[in-house]
Amino acid sequence: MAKHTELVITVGGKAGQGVLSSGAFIQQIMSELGLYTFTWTEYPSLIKGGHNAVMVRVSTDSVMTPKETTNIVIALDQVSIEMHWHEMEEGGVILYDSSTIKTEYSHTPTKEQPFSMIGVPLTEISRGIDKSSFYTNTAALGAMHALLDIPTTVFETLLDKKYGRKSQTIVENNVTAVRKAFEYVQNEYDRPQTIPSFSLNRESLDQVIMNGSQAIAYGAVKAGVTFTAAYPMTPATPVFDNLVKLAPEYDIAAKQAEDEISAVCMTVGASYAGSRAMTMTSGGGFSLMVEALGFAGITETPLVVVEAMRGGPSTGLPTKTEQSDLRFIVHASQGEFPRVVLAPGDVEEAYYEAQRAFNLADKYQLPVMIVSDKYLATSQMSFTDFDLDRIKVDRGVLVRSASELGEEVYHRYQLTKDGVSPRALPGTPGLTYKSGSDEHNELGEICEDPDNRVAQMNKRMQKEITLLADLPKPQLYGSKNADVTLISWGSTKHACLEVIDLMKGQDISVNVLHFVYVYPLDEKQLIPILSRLKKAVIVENNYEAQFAGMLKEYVGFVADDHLLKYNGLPFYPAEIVTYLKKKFF
Amino acid sequence: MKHNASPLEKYHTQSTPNWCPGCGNFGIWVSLKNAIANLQIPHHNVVIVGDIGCSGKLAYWTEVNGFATLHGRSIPVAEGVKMANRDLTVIVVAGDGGTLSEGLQHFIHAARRNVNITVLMHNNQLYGLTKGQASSTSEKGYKSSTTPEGSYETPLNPSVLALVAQATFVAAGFAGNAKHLTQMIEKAITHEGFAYVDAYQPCVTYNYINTYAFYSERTYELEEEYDATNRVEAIQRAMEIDGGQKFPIGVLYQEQGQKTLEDNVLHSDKPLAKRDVSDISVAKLFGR
Ligand SMILES: Cc1ncc(C[n+]2csc(CCOP(=O)(O)OP(=O)(O)O)c2C)c(N)n1
Ligand code: SF4
Repeated sequence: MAKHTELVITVGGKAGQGVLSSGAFIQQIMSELGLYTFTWTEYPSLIKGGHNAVMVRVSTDSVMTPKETTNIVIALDQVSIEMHWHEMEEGGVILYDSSTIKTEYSHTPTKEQPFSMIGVPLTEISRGIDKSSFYTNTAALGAMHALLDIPTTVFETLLDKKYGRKSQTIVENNVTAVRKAFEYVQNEYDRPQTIPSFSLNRESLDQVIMNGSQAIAYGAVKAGVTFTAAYPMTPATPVFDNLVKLAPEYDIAAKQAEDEISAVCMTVGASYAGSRAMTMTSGGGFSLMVEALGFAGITETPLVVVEAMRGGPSTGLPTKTEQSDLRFIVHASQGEFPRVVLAPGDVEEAYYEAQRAFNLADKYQLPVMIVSDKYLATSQMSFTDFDLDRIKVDRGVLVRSASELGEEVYHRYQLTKDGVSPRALPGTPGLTYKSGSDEHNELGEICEDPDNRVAQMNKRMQKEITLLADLPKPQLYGSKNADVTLISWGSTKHACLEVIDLMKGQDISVNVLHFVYVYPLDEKQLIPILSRLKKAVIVENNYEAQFAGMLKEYVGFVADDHLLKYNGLPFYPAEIVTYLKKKFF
Repeated sequence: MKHNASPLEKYHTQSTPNWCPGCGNFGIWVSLKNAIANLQIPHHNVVIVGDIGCSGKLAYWTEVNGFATLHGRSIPVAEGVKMANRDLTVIVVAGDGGTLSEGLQHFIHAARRNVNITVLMHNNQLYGLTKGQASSTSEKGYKSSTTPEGSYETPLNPSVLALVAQATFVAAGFAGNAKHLTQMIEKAITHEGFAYVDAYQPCVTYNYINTYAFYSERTYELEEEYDATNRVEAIQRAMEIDGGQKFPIGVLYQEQGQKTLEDNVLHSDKPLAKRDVSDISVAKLFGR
């Protein structure tokens, strides 16, 4: 096996300085060079002026998590140097714009500063081209190539791809900036040998690079979403934006609503009429959608809601990650009705599970919540094999015409063994029916009769039992009988998975049990799996150990410990390792 | 008022309205059924989207499709239905509470986006279902359990609101004049765009001010020469009710030829709900 090499590059600057696009370029360049990448973005909720940072982890093997430390910081402003100072790895480099940043730091590593400072007059290089500072960040990437000792050809081709159709001058100017900065570094500095170098004779990877928001949107498109409505809220907006972009080509109606109540109600209305429909929001907007969940529940209208969590409560941490809405999502809305809550752990799962969400919603005629978070929503992950057509569309039992009915009248809420009543859409020739938020009889008419109430309640709740057979089991990764099992749900998946490798050769072995389907929890399915674990630690991005609580409540499983984090950042594998060593060694 | 006048029999469900005897809702219900019958719209293509209130229950009692929603949320649900299947005739039935308090934002935005639905507001100037509390259209001085000294807020003028929000069809009618109200509803349904009908509805149980007699004396039909294409004039006419003495009924405003929400948001003529979604290719999105 080839040697594992990896490197972290962080680009920092003011919002508007092209930080995010630099990150995307680094990712594309590395991918062309046959390397895997993972990109994590940090941005404040300000549009301009705040500090933006993007961290690209580059590796010879698949990587899915950010690191606490970085090898190269590309600082487009002074703040970036200060912000990322403490993250620097020994032997790393801070590459900064010496035209705008004056530093008193030493160029070569010292005891207090165990890394190099390399100044490149990026802004000056850009100004020298056409008097603008437009090419500052491309110049920075040119300088980065010199540090990594890789030719700029791939980057130049990508620049041509991106701007070539717009203007050849822009391409040329960018290329000039890249080459000038590259040469500047080569002429002025010795390349620090402490920066890992990658062998360049790798084949370029046939990778899919995308973030969780794209993956959910693409999954929804694949599932045949035809209607979506939303009200903007970070970090859920990118799912909507992606669908809006694809709307003309895929014949999707995408409507920005006046608020989240309207968004969810439009979605329920569209779904009632027969469209595959989805809405998306974060915790605050989800709070407003709550009443409509029960409406979908009692009218048995399929509904898919994406809840992209951020730090709460209230406005909380708008641009930071957290998994603290789980209990809320599981219990939201008055009364009792069946629902499904699922939490994809990465881009691949997001794509597949978005499709399963639609199938479950249609088949069992209930609300399905896809739980995402800032981390999953905005992290760019790369995957090499994706089976685009794995999940088949299942729209459930539909009555297509009155003649299909075996009886005179259509019973929308017919009592059935599995709880699922054949569904007819309004507009079905020769057939009309009632549906409503009041308790109703089989015909859909208001009915407060106690026996009918019990029959309809039981029918609805039966669906939550019937559907258990359709829910995939939690997946066990790593050896079967490890000493410690990390239990992840949703986006803590890969931080835990990486720990398996990091703990290889240590005194204790670790495996991971990853949950995508977090509600309902099937006691019969889970007890045999959970009772076999030697020691279990639940890893969650929240304060209350919410999933641990749910396992206790619904399955009677009490984990040995939980590892919690609620500072707005995702888990780093290294900190899980530190925890394990302290706890179990 | 008896509701089972024979030509309308086919619109009856097995359950019958439980409105108080004499309630103005009966007159509106008859008018609505008449309008649908006169327009000869197939039953299965009509969806009545009901709000929560005495009025909204009508969705359960009319033999077309009925979708009874949440208090204040009938309009966005109806918008969703219409966007998903523009072949359906979508009629919102809601009270003044649901339309102008709980769901006011939806009313205004539906108007300005010109969604092709009809909003039939049963305006009884109070919350009927919850036992007569003051609503946004209650007259000053209206006494209820929650306004024991009489309502002191100035009532909203719903037609003016609709007009200011750029509704392309605004009409008013009276539950006690079913023949006229039927015409209003027919016109609203056939209007291509957002159509609002303010239906004055006596609540015989709680409203001791705005009775049948009150409206019989004060409503008058807009004159033949009235120009319903002038929004400013329409607003002025609609404002007459603020004095509490003159209530014009008829089509206050109609503007044709404006693009509807569906025109703007839909990318093909085939209703979304009827599309086969079983085999969509996303290969392109993955660069394949
Ligand atoms: C969210 C919510 N708040 C309050 C209620 C209680 N409620 C039911 S109907 C209603 C008001 C009814 O008044 P209106 O909308 O004018 O209809 P009417 O009964 O007069 O026809 C209220 C407050 C509810 N069902 N839901
Ligand atoms: S309370 Fe008023 S509005 Fe409600 S049914 Fe009785 S009379 Fe009609």
